[in-house]
Amino acid sequence: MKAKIVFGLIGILIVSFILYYFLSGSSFSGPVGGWEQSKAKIEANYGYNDQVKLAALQLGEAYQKVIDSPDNVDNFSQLSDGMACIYGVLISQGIDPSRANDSWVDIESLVVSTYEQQRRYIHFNAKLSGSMLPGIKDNISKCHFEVKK
Amino acid sequence: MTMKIAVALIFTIVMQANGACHKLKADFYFANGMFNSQAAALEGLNELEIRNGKKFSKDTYDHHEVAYNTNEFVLLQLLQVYRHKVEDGTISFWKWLGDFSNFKDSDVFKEQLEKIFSTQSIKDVDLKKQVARYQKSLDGKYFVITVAHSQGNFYTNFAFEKLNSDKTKMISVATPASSIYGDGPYFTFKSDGVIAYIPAALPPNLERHPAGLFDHEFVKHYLDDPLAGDEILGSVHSAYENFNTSNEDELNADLDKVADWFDSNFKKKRSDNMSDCLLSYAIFKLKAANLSCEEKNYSRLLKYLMDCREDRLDDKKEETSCPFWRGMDIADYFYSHMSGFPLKGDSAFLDLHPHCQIDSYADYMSKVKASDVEGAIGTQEKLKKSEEK
Repeated sequence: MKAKIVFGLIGILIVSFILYYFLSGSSFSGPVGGWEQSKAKIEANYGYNDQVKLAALQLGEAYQKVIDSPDNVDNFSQLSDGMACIYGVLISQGIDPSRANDSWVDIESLVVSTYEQQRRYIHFNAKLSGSMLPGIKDNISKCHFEVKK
Repeated sequence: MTMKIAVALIFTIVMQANGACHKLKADFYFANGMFNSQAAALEGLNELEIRNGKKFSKDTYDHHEVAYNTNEFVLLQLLQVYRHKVEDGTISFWKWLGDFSNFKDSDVFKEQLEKIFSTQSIKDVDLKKQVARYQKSLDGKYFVITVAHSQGNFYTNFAFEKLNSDKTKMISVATPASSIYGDGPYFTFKSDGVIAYIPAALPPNLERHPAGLFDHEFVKHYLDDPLAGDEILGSVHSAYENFNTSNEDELNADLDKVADWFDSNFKKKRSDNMSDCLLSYAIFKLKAANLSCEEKNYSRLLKYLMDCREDRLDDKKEETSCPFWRGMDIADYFYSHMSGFPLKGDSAFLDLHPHCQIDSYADYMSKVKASDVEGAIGTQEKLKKSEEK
């Protein structure tokens, strides 16, 4: 009798564990991809200057990382660095700050464009909901490449 | 001995008269609307900074942050509408979402708006991190100014209610809420097609020329409009100025620890002995004194307490500056005798510390011992030393 109860309990535990695993797990399996197309779009839009192109690609790659693993909020720091970098590069080229910060949303729309990418990006944004996001300053030291002045 | 103390005090007062006072600063926040990605919300904050810097001083604020909010469930519902209407990969969902004309006569949109603007949906949002960050600003002696757009207003109302501080101010833009915490100013276009869906929202109070169908976006519609943009930035600036003028009880930075001790004692009603009564009341009077922030310093507070010590050592002395004995604002010794100690007018203090009440000169002489004065001086010195460490 005791053995039946023990086996019963073990069975319940295993089923619960399997259910928990599937229900609580991320609904995003693996990277969403699409970087090559996004990269081409960024190069087409920001290729007028090497430094600007590099900065735009850095931010674009950060967005790609976000949609590839939308549960990882730590990727926000790379987004933040990418924004500070392109903002700094554009301002150093004499672009008006109000136009320079348009690049954040512009590059976002170049990388996050398909339905699946949008779904993932919405999820990432929702993960940030309720937190405080530090304002972005122009900062070329956040660039992953040497900025020529 | 008395002469030496007096010389030392005069010297230190002169030395510290120009001591540091807190630069009165505010931390600045932008609470975004629902239809903003994190990038758009950061752009909204950045635009506020840029335009504020152009119009007013650039170095007013130390910290700029976005109090970010969004709602995955609602956005996924709208994403389905987008999916049916837009060919995959042609236009970004967020850009499409920003053009509210796409939702004209959309039942799904109306339904989702009702959901996101419902009180329950706000209650469900976890704002612990944002409340904690606001609190950190207040603890660091910063004022908090938040410009809230759209449903960011609900969250800011909610967070500010939790903080319950008079050092917070919200400026509302396109608010769906029916009230604003602290009666802050609000700006809603009559042509704001989103707020028009919300019956309980505060009535619109601005005209936009030329008016569009859905004038709801923060930067494109509100900040870019010359009248609304000026009103919003002007309100941010006024909030900052008002905080400054209402901060006349600020003490010199060399009394930071003492002020913290006072705040915790005063608010938590913890002055449970006469020594703490003496020190609390001296600080209370120093805060209220008609002096500059620089003059409300450690040396002056010490002088008040030294005066009390002298008075207590010489019972027959009739002229005194001891705030606890006669109240510093009253010159007439006999009047102060009649009115009791501390003065009855100090009800704000006595309401919190009724046990500090002294009813007569005899009461003062019997309740306040020399050791109480020494205790108050000792506490002050201890706090000062802990600050120096």
